[in-house]
Amino acid sequence: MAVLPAAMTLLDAAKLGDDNAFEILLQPLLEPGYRLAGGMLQDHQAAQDAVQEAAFKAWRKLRQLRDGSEMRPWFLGIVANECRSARRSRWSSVVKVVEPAKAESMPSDSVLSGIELRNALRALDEKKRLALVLHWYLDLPLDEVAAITGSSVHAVEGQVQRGMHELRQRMKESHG
Amino acid sequence: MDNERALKVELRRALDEVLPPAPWLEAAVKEDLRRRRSRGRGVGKTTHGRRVWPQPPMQLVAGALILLVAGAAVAAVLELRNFTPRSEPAALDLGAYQAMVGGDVNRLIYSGSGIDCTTVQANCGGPGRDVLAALQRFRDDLTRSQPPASMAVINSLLRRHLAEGIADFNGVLAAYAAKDQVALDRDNYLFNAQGEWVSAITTSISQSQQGTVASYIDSVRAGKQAMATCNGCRPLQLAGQDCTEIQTVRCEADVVYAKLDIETLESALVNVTPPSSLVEQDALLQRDLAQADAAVLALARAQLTGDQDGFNAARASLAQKLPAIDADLAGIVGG
Repeated sequence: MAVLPAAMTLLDAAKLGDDNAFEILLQPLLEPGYRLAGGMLQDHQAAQDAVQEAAFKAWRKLRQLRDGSEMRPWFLGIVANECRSARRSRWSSVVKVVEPAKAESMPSDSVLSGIELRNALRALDEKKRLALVLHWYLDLPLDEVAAITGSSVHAVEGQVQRGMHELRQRMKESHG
Repeated sequence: MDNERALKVELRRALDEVLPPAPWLEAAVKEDLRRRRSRGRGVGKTTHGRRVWPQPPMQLVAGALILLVAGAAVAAVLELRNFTPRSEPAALDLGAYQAMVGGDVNRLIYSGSGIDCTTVQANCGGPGRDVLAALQRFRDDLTRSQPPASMAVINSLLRRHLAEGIADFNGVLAAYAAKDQVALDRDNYLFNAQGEWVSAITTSISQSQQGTVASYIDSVRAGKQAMATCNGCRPLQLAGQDCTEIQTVRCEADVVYAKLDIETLESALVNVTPPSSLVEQDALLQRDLAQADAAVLALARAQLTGDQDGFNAARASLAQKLPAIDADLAGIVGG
């Protein structure tokens, strides 16, 4: 994963305190950051909060980003940390699990399946959920997922496989 | 392989359903950054060559009272169970203890209604004192009460976290009075860290049930699994691995993971109380966990303030406690 020289120049400028350079670097990372936080927290407002906090933290910690390191896995690692912290205090997302559907008509099978799948994903332990969201939802390659989670590629592969297996099991159980 | 692809497509669709496009996000993040940068400049400026506040809080919170909001879930559960909150100290059975904790959580939520301590311009001062009083009442109730034996350790831990929370919230009030936004952010962060723990544990207390040998061991086994794969505990256990610099993203992740995994095990023990044959082993495990909990709390505080020596001491203390916890767990669930 080579770093483009142009990006390095921007990064250097950002590290030296150029806020515009930082914002240019950050801009393409916001959407994946939002999707990562959304996949983990399943709440778009909470996802936006997590990305905002991560962006501010990234700005404060930019000098810790080592030369030659890529910014995307570093930033997504910060977003993942924010999600871990936010998860326990987001009572609203817990409430939503047990909240009855408010649809006026009977929900369609696909809506039910979506709810079941989100519940199944939420029930996975945090590491498997993170690996699945990064690899499946954000389409990131396994080596980048490993860089974000601080694991080996082999370990990430295992988490994705076990996560997928558990999702299937939970879906089967919910269908009786 | 086709099944895998189908599941992947389904998962993407399921997540897209709850995650609308956010075209406003870029503008919102930039605006938030500009606002916070403008007050963040100057943070960490030195006086006499020393940083006053070396690093910002790990997480600048959206509001000072997540604890109170989070507690709403607990209160709702307790109300559903039709408990009558009361706070008279006595030798309490499990139901009465749950009712007392529920009553205190309710009081805390009520006292925090309409309060905002996020910024020095917000409405924090007067209502903040009501919150402080409710926190103190909560702690005092725990101090005066005699909890059921299965809750004795968690009761004293809850008291300790509340005492820390009170100190942190006093810091919030002082920072608000001094119009010191940087200190306000820091103390809000610290206060909310306590709030997250209190929220998780009081939720477990509200759901706690007397276990059988089988259900208790199942619950402990789930907590053991979290500890076995604890991404944070293990690197922290090995000096020289991770956290050579304590304020890096990787090191923060280690501490957050350790905190969550220890909290998961603590919650598991509270959720299902032990049958009489396992009471002693449960108490031993809870006591060791309580010490690990204190070590993680010290790690987080040291990390926040850039206190390398404090961090190293807390790390050594955690490393010492983890094998004891492993042994306790093995004694209960085997292997």
